[in-house]
Amino acid sequence: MDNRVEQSQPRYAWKLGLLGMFLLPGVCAAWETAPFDDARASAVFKLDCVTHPQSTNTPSDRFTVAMNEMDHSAHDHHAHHMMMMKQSGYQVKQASYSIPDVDLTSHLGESVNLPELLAMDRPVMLNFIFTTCTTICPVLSASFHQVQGLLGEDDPVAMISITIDPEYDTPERLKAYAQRFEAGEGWTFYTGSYEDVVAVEKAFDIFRGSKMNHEPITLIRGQGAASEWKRIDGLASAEDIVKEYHATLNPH
Amino acid sequence: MYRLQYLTQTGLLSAVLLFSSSNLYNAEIDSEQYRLGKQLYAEGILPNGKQVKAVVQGDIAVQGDQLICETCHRRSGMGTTEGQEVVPAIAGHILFNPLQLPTSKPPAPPIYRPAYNRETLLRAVTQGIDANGEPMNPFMPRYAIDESTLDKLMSYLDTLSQSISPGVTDKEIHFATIILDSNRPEDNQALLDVLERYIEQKNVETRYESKRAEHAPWHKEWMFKPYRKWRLHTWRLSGAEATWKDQLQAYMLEQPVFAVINGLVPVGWPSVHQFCENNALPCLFPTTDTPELAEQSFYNLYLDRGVAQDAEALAAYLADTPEVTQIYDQADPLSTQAAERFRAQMTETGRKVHDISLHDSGDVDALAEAQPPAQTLVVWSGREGVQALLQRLGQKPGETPIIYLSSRFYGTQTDALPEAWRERIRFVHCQEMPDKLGHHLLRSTGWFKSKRIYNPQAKAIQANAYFALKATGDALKQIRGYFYRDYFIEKIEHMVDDLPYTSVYPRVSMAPGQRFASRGYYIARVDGKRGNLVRVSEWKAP
Repeated sequence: MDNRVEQSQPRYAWKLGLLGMFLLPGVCAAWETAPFDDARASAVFKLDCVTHPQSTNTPSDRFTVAMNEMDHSAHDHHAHHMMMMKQSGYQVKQASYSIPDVDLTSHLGESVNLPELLAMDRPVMLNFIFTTCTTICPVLSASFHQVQGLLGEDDPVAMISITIDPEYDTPERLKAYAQRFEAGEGWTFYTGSYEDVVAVEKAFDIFRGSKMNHEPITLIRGQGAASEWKRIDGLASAEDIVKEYHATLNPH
Repeated sequence: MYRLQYLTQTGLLSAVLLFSSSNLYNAEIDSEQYRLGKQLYAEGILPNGKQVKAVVQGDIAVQGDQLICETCHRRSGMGTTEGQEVVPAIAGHILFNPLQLPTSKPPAPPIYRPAYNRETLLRAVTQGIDANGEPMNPFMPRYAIDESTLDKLMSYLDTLSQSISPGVTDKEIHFATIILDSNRPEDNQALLDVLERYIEQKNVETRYESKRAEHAPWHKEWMFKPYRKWRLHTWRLSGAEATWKDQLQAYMLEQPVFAVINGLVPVGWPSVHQFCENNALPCLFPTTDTPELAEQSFYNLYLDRGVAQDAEALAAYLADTPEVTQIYDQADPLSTQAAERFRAQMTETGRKVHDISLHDSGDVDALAEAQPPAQTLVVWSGREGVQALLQRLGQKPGETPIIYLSSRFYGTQTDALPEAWRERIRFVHCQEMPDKLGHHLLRSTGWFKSKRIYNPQAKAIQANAYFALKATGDALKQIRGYFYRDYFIEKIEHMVDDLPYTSVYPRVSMAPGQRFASRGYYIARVDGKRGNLVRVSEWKAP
């Protein structure tokens, strides 16, 4: 309300309206009577989006644009890709990250150095969550639980969840969260100082300013691969994560 | 089925409901359907008492409290957003109507999704197919529920956000602020200056919005209609704390308000807290040293944890100190609360705390003569108490251990501390450091100065009031015309991390269920020469 720009209200608006009343029926009549062929008719009558003329224009598209205060990015091709990605669930890419030298504390109260932790000779599965998160994290955590079940107790994978709300998520809260999602052995939750956690988020390119903007991302690193990570953007099923995990371990 | 909807449709009855019942949302609805529906929505428990089971993205199994309706669609049923995921509103009046732009005049806007009915809702919840027949967002779990459970859920959804909250009329929205007669008059004035001037200015600057709301073009009604002029009511409380509840009831009956903005109640906020919870009244960011610490509450949002934050901070900072002596003033409720909280935190982790009463000269003298000198000292007292204490402790500061003070009690003006002691003194400080605060608050201070209402002695009071006002305005903008208090609170929870304006804290943060915006602290020492505070630790959370 308070940041809305005051629009000028022209005094002649009613005159314009009146003019329109006289002109419009004429225009409509002209449209109705003009002998168009089909192609031309569709070219004239198609209600294209002004800023993105070639884009699709279903009622639902128009609604999305209108509800976003006329933000036309919904027509955007990139947005369409995003939508497609959402439907199929996830996208995978390879990435290399340099791990910042920070100390984190686990939900069991143990302090670890992150580069040392990640230097271990075991495959690693990593995600970012926070305990008061509503939509994305519960699903990510449930999927980790499921993956853990699918892989079984003997699998060497180290599963790591790092909170992106470190000032609230104390080791005690993380412990309760671990119990809520029935985290087994080999799945550890970490918190740290705000600055350190932000450094980690930035290093893994998941920092989005505020924790409320975070995205569902799962990272997988094979055994002994120092900084080569497989990055899963979006929501993958547990089976897909296991599939990607096995593909990481045995690339051929 | 006894629906709340029918009750609140008559204004009179709704007023009776609001003021006679102890809790708006738990009262008068005794239907079993509703209860079981709520149990599923808010706890993930089926009518047969078992946990509800669901599957996400094909094979991710979840159950019970791991992923329930309320975590995503929220208490108001108005939905939320997270990252790029949009969780739609499922309050009954929205779900069971076609989704289209809300306009009152023809032409009718396009229908985005048809109204849900029993069949399509069952299909959506169990199979993830929406009313258009399209697959839903993969984050929506597929729940294993049967038709009779769905009926119960539907009766609960019908009650969510189904009538506009009190305090909102067609043209106005009413707010209150709460102050005490016993406060220093200049503090009350500093607070009211900010609230009154801000709201006056806001109403003046948006005066054309009322016209636009009245004469909005049909396709923009939904955008302009929600405009309301703000009205502020000052709820001034006097006398004993036990009588506050009745005073607040009387104010509320005279003019219901949508929310309480800020307020100045240094001690005794828990009484107000109870009133706000019982009346489902959002009470936003009061200036108080004694917030209610129980996290189960919903309608009270706080800036920080008051004296408890100082105590928790010190207990965390002194994690490696096995024994501490604390000195406090038993006649002062604030000092006592801080001491109790500190003792609880220390003993919880197996550490020892010796209590000494500030006014018990025998104890203090014994402390001064103790050989070897006492352990680390923590003093919960203001300037006079500390001064007297230091005098009695004698002139051998070099031999005493570190003394911890709290800037909440002592203030940040440290020039009165004897120079010989400065080396031995540390402060716990739960705001931005004084030397940075001026720059940090430049924007609000500038506005106060331009309005000639700036009071440097009430810096935090004014900054807090300004913060609460800005947060209120932003949240109102975000809820658009949906004046539901629950939704309003949810929006604030959601946006605090992104606020572009500052508070007296280095940073603030909230999330669903979190009730304290700032949790951190600094440990500071006294700069020998100038006598100002210099931090010795980073800003960290206990």
